[in-house]
Amino acid sequence: MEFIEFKNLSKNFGPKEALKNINLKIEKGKIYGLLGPNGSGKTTMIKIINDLLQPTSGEILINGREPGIESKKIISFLPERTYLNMNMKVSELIQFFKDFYEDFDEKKAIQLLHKLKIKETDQLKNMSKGTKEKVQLVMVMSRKADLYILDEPIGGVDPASRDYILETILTNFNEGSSILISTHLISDIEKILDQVIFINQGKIVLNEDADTIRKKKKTTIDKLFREEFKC
Amino acid sequence: MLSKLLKYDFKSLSKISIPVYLVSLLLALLTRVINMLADKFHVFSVPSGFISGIFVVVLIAIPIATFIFTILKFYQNLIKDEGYLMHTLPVSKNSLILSKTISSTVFIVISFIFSILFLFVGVYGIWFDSKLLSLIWDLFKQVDTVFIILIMLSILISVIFNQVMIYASIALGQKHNNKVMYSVIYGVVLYNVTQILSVVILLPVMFLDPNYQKYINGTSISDFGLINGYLLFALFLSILFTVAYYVLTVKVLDKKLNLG
Repeated sequence: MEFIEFKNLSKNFGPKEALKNINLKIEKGKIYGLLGPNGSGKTTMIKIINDLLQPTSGEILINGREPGIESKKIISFLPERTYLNMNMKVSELIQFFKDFYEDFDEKKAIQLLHKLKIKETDQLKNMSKGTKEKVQLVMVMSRKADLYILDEPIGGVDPASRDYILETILTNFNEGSSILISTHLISDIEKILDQVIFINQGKIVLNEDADTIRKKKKTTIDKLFREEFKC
Repeated sequence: MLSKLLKYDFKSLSKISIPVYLVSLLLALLTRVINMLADKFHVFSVPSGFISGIFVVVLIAIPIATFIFTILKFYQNLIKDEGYLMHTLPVSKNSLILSKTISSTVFIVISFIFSILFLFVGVYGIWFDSKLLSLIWDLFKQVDTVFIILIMLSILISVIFNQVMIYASIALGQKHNNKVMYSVIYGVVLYNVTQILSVVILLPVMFLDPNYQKYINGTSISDFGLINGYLLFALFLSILFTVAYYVLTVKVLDKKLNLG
């Protein structure tokens, strides 16, 4: 059963067409890779799911309804930038998530933060960029959401941190829920993907099961991506 | 959810405002002490003039700075990076904007009251003469009570109106790539639209009102009833514009959000 459905959805920014007639279904219980070069429309799609942008035409349905308060209760979103209020302490951030998200697991968040040697009394503004990103990921993954949307979760971190992030994602996501990961660093994540979506110049150019792609094309998804999007 | 949003908005604004109030109170006390010394020792007259000047500037700046700060918080919290969190919370846009409006108004009013209070502290110290208070009370009693209430309400509504008009400008401006520039442009447009509409609505009313004509001709000059009537009308217009710009802000951020 589809959880999210894009129906003939287009998004323009002035004369520029960022998304062109997208038709896509996202089901429950799968890990999706939304893969495409920079400027292909990945973040625009993600922003539309999260109600941060509105489509120019067509529609998007989440559990049969337009994005809104109900969809925000069940989607846990990690944007590609830091969205934290830097004047907060870690304990205040935990309280903030607890106050607004019924599905937030405080114990899990504290446990994950302690593993990273982050204390509740630490100030967010005194943390490095990488640590802030990890704190943000911990908050997002500590929700028992139906869908986790992770926009470039490994984009700005070193390879060692990438492993930590991928492990955190895989060991902490709610069973039966879905993950949509957007990235252009495919080799790091391709082993965890169930379904692969290639997007280029605002169009879906491939939407297939990851194992089927490997069998049919007899190559890795990373190699296929490099061939498909060769400059 | 509104109460939770209010909790965080109040907390965020108080982190800056409370230290500012404390520093201003210290400055008021310092001004009072130096002025007292200047009365007794001539050598303190120059520092007294200097600190009194700074004190007056600070008193005027407190409510203005609070107003600017609340607008910056609105922009930072809902349009810049923090907006990615705020707009993905399971709360309505109305709650988001209402929380900002209430918390900002409370802090601007508190700043205004503190400015007046600190002025008294700077001039008279912390022990007010009871004669001074009764003098102020006598002054109030001489003026029409309804007039005082209407003036107070007008100031309050004006604070809310100006905030909401800027919120609407920012909401309209964020639809464009250059969000700051367009917010300023929309701000100028909305301000002028409000002014023109107010005049267009108020002028025919004044011309058709026989009491106003009498007032102009000097036959009924000290008529608080007439002034209060117009104050009430202006207040009604301000509330109308405030509601219109509030609804516009909520609708635009709900249906035309464009986080960059």
